[in-house]
Amino acid sequence: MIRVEKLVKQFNSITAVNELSLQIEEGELFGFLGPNGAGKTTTIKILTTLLKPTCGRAIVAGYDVLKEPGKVRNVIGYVAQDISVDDKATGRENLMLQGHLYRMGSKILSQRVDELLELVDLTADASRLAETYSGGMRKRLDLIAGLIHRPKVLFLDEPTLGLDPQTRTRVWGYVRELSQKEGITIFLTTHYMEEADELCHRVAIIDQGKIVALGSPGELKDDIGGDCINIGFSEERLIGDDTFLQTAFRVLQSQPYVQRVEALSDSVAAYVERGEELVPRIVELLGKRGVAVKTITLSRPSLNDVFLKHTGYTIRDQEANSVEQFRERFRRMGKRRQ
Amino acid sequence: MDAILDVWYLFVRNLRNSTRVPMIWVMSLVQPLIWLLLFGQLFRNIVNIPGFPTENYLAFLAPGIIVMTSLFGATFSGMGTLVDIDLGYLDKMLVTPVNRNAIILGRIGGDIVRIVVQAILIVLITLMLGVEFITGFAGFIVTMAIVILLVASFAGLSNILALRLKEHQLFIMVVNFFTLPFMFLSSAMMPMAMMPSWLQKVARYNPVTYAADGIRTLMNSGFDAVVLGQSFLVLGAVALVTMGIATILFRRRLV
Repeated sequence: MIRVEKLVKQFNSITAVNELSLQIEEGELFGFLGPNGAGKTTTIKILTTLLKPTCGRAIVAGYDVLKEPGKVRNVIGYVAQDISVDDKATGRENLMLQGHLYRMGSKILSQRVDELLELVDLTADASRLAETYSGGMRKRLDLIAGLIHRPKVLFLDEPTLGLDPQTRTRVWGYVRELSQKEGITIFLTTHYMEEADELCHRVAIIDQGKIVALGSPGELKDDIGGDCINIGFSEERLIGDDTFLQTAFRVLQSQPYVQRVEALSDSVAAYVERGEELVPRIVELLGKRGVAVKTITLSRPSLNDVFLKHTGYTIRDQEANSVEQFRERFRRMGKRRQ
Repeated sequence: MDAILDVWYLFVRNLRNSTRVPMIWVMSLVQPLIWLLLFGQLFRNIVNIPGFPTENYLAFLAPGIIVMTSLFGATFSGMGTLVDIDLGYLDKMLVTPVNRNAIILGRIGGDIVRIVVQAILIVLITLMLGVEFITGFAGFIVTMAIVILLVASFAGLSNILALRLKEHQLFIMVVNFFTLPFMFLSSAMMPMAMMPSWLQKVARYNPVTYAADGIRTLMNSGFDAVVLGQSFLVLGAVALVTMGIATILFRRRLV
């Protein structure tokens, strides 16, 4: 349904998208996971004909985005990261205009509008101006505006950014429903791990314009090596010439069932399969070697671990930097409004 | 056909949205009225200067106020475009198959209607104040045609600035910077004959002069083919150029 071949987009000297290639099947719910500035929005803007790539090719629903942008536009829906509804128009007027721009006939359009308003519980508010809507209502309105013409492919750029937890869960529900009931191919970007994990059939992890990992959330996590057992020690005491931590590290490394061990600052992380069965064995084993175990936690690896493995940093590290950018943006917006 | 419908839908959106902020309309109507009455009083003795073309200053001023209102309204047309870009609403329209030119034509079309309504009101008030509209209803229609061309010219320019400057504050500064000179370096407020000669030369190159002269002829003296011909030729050409460039710039932003 979507085929991208060696896509490149440069802005002056910055390469936002760097030889990106990928293929998405019909009906798939595909997630693009990465920190801010990884090239997610740029990619989506190229696929929705809003930006021209520097080079490379992108085919959406059988049409080349550069050669036949008009045909692409007819079959795609796009919901941008920032909510964009016409505040001085009612919910219904917003949807009607959107439908008219797709050249939908008035009768079919009204039916479709009713249906969509019903879907997201906005029927009662349809004739109020959008400026009176809450943030969640605006997002829902924006979302269904992208569905008005029954697109074959739906692009959602950070669909739950800045939403409260309840609205987020609701939006997830709609997205899942669209994918399951209507079989729409959905391409979404997100920097929320849980979102990609919860919703997507397949996830591509993107960093600095490149895909660094691709697969189903399960596959990506399995790739890291099953479960993670984290062992903490009561005190830094020595056994012979070794500390507890070093002893534990060596002991675990020599066990055939342990795939990988990492020594952290005050604990050791061992990656294993079927961790729940191994916890008692490991405790017993370490006890025999004289290591006093204080805490032991068992966790499934998260996409965060996957991200860390492929990029060398966590999305959270990245976000710490982007808080500054965000403040800057806010400051500029405030200035404009004056 | 689709393109015409697109223009229509976006034109209706622009007008409808402006009715949702009634103050826009109140201001649009109060402002020319105040100007007309205030400036009419302020400069009324100007008619005593030998060589002034009319006996009643209001008769001279009314075309100037029509031009002023049109000019000031038109130069802010780009603001709507900037807001749409900023809110992401433009992108939202652009992912639809909507005709690209229709977006800008629909916007300027809505602005034209709003300003024509203002011009009609100014004419009505002038009539109520006892000024005669020499060329009658036919002249009134031609006046509106001149207003439309003037607005199209400067709304085109305004959208060019919006698309080039991209920043609200800068846009407002630049618009304010050039609007007043366009206004006062023209025959809108002062008869050409009474200007210093270097100013006359400048005014000759100012399209606003041709709008003011055309409307003034229609209101105060009669159908003067030469003045009207110049008026339509100059304003038509300027409108074509600025709208053309605005459309091209707009398309260049896009795929």
